[in-house]
Amino acid sequence: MEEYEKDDTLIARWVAGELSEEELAEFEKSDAYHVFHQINEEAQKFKAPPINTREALIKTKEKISFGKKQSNPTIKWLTIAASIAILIGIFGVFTATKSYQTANGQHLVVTLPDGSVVQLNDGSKLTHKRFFWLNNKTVTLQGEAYFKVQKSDGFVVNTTYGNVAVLGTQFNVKSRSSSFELDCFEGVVRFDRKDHNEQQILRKNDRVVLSKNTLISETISKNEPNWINGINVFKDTPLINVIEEIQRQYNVTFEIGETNTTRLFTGSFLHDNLEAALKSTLTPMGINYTISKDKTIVQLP
Amino acid sequence: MPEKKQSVCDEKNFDTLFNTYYESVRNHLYYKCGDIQQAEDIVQDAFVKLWKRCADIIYDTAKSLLYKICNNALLNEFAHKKVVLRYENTPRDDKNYESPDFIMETEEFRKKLEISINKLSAKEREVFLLSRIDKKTYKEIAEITDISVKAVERRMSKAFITLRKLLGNEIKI
Repeated sequence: MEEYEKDDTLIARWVAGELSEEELAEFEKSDAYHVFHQINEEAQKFKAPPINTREALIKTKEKISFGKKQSNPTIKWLTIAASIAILIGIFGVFTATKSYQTANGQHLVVTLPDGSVVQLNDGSKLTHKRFFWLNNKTVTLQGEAYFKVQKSDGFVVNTTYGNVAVLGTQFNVKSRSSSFELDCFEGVVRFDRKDHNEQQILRKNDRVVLSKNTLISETISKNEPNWINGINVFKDTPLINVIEEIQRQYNVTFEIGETNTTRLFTGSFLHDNLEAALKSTLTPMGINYTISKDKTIVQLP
Repeated sequence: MPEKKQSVCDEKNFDTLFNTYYESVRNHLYYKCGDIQQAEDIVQDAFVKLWKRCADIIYDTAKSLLYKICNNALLNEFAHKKVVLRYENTPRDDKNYESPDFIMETEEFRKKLEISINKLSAKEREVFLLSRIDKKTYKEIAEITDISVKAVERRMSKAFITLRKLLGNEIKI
């Protein structure tokens, strides 16, 4: 029996060049050495079938995205982010709004894309869609504004109390935090009260006031709202609403002690003189007041 | 500073893994099954699996996992075909001095060797070709085939002895 048969790792070690000199000399002498040598030499010239790793990688990635569900998390999130960005963009075109806002004591005249003119009273905000507004002429109003609307269909003013639908007219909408008044100076408007299946059609010189949760119809004799001419007129209005109006017109703050502000006030005040305004509203009510030196704070007992 | 753990989920790392191991795993499978298409499919599917479970896989163990997935897949669909190898004609300095007879003999010998290699058992062929073609060390082969280095050496030696027997009479001494 040959040595390479007795030692079952001898050939392997010879292949790896790990034999000692003695072992090697002995092995080379064996009959079979020649064949082993040739096998080893020729076998090393063989090659595995050709390979294209790049192509295989591409194929593998196709399999990955084909079988789907889990793609590269980064790419997945990027895709989602991009989709959202596009959606926001599209959404933005349809929902982008344009706003006009007046601070306290400020008035603003706005001309809408259809030529209608809106005069914003102080502390008010008018918002409408930036794009495609002419298809659906709706504006949202917080505060008070006087509208001179071009004759056309479908002009609507949204307020927290309901919608005012218009057909070429002039009207004033007052939608403050605690009061709603609608005055029609020309043409016809319709007031659809929010959450109350209630409608009111106003013609020239009609006026509705929302008082204690009910709509009261009144008539007016003016051609324009008073505030346009720098005066506020009240009729049986709770004092707190009058005070709020003064606060907005003159940008002052009232500090109210025990004064009863639910009493009703009838009268008016001018927009150009704080002291005169206070005198004309508070004095008739028998209320004493003090004004701070910088004319920003009015204290009531 | 602690080295940041590499993630298989990082596409760059995945590509590196692929480029590093695709060929050797494919060859290994091919030596066992002799079907190059099957071998490539199995390795690619294994990489797909690797990717899908990338979050659970530690980069450094990906290699052994890859071999394990492939070996299991091959066991499931094992059908041995003939291993066809390419022969590289390395230019030799002494070529001009070789007699036409000698070249013929070598050519003949190569063909017979290839046939004989196909007659080896899968386990012997696997070790023999990994060592002789892919030039892997016994230690590397031991890792791939999940046996001891000693066992690899035994299989290697046995492969030589079997080949000699198969070729036996064909070789002129």
